[in-house]
Amino acid sequence: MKRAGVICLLSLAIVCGATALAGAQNVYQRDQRVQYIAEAIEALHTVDKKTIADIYSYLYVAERNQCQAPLRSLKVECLLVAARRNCEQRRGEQRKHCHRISDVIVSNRLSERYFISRSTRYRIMQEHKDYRSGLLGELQRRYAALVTELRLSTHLAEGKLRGPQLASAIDEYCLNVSGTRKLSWQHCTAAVIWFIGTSPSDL
Amino acid sequence: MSIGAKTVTSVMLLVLALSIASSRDRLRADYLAQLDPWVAFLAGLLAVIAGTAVFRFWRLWDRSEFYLRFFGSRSRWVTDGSLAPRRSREVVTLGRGAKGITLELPGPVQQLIYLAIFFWVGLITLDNRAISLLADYPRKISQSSANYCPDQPSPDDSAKDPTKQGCALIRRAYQLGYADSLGSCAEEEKDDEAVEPCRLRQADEPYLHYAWRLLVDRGRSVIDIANPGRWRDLGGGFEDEWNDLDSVLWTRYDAVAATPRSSHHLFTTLPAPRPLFRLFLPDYVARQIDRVGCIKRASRMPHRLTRSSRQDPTLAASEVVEHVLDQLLFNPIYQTVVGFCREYTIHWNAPSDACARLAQHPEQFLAEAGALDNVREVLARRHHRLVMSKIAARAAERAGQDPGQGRDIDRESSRKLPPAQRIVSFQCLVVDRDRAEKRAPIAERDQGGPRQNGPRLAVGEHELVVDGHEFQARELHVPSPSAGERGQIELYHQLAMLLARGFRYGRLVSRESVATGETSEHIANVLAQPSYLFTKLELLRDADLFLGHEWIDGRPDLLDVYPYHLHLNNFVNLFRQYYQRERGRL
Repeated sequence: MKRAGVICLLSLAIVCGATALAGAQNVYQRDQRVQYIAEAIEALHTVDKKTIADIYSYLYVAERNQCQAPLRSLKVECLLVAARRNCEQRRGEQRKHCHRISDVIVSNRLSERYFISRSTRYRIMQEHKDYRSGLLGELQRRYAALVTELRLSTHLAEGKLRGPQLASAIDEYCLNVSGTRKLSWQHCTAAVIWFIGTSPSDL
Repeated sequence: MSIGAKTVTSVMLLVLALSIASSRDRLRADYLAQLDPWVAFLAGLLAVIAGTAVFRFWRLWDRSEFYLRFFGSRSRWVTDGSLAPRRSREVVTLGRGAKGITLELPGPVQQLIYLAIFFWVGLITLDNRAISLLADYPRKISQSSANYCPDQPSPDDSAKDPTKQGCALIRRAYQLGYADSLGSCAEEEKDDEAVEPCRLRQADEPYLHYAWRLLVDRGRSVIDIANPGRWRDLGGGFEDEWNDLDSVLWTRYDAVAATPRSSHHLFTTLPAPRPLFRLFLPDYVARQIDRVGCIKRASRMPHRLTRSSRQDPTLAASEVVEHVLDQLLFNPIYQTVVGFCREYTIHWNAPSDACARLAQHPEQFLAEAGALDNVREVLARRHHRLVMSKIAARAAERAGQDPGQGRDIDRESSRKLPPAQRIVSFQCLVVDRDRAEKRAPIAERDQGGPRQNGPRLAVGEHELVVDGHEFQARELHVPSPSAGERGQIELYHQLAMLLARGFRYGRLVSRESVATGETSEHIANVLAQPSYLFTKLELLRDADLFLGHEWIDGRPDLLDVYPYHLHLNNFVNLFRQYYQRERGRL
């Protein structure tokens, strides 16, 4: 009897563990994507601007220095390590927000060359004394174009949306964009999240 | 009180000018501050010249002959010179005679008023834009871009050709024996064409010199009319065209009616993807509707077919074949669209020995398939173009010119004609449902092309002759496509192999990093963790579905966010480079 009970408990533990593992493996399912997007937007709204700027500066320096690599995968992994190391210094909710924000920032840094072509970069360098601010301004315009298209699309219903509804609309819109154009889902999503999260007005 | 008419006029004109200036925001301090100095100068110049001229010619220094009298109450009349009838309640009357005037501005003051009026007129009409247009006008009237010779094109720099950027690696692989051909990286033979000198105005040529040249050329053309040789050439050209009148007329008709410039046919054993409407329509009409629909399909095509409307797997495979063909050939978001979708016909439900039958009785088989007329139409158009090019060459010989640069009877005909095999093609895709379902992984990581059931797929060829032209019909036997994503990838490889001779897709040409051969498991493990979801997806760049990576098939969540455009773009562009070498249009 006792042995049967132990076996039952062990079987149950194995089944639960396998289910959890399967759920953890399929982390890009729609529900989890939407939740992640909502958490990222909330993190950008919650954390103060100075902290966001500090995270951005840290990752910018990391990308330009120790994470320079000929292979993109090495660069990505290096940035992941750097971002995690930076956020481990924080506690509780702050750490979670830091991870979300870092993910958005790193993805935007990696997608920069897909938003701005080389010829546009050269033009910005010629026209602006401060190349970096000119580039950031141009990026903001490209992000704004995406958000405007999202706002006018059928994915976003009338009225202001919050939380999961907005995240769901962003996910659907970026799936459509990545499915028909030359823009990856994560680049589209991170760009829209950054613009909405750092914009003073509501969508 | 009576005021002189000249005083009243000058004051009213000044008020009018100021009110117009105010309505056009010319009185604002910030507007005046940003004005070009030339605006102020020209306005002042206008004021001085026009104001002084008006003052002098209108003799404004004299007292007015007429006056306006304003009545506050009844008062005495000056009867001599008054024009208005005598009424007791008038407010203003017009009178005549200098003696009746009690108020008249002195001449210098009136001159200043008129100077001010014309100054404000100048400021109203002139602004910074007007000054810049005036300054630019001499340059515009002396130049006309339509009459200038275009700039000489810069020498062709093959190092900047994007298709050559990856050739260093391909050449090295060819030298080491890893690749059996250079493919698109092989040296291209360039035709040295003589450039005719431009007869338009040169960039630094004075206008008079250009005018003299035009006059001389016109004189020569007038003299040339009387040249008997010219009439002889004209007669010869007319006789040539009269002898081949049908080609001349058909060439014009083909250009106006936009008849097909190529005819490419794919015979497949798969059923038609939209069987219902074909049930009630003749096959020819159904194909026409398909052709019209192809343009709409190609306009906004998704990277992958996510949902098939057919529950029958063979019908779903048909939809995928259609989608893959559209992506490979017609989708404009990739480089250089290599075909016009209306000139491609898929013959569904074809027999499994379609290519063999085609080789044995080509005209009969094509007639039964409803393709013979289309093929003959394209071949006829090519024939007419050939005739026109010969007429142009004979005309050039008579005129003593190079036959290759003859009189442009038909601009199209003077270009090099493609061979018939380039504009007409036949392919057969035979889906053998009896082949075993168990298959090997889609591709070895270091070899290109699909590997199905062990041995590599091979494309067979059948020789056939249609209307005196020799063609090769290419045939490929494949097993039933796998379900889902894997089936689409298989069809990409199969159709690419079938359509483009020698096409290979492997790690050397993939966007996948060369050094990541052993990290598929690592990518899979990293993407299984629920953190940094955005950044980690960058690693999928090193998981090219066209090279295998079957582990992604077990992750439908990853397929939603997979960067298809990256690897699909590369695959399609490479295919089109191969395809363009053999196939094209008139």
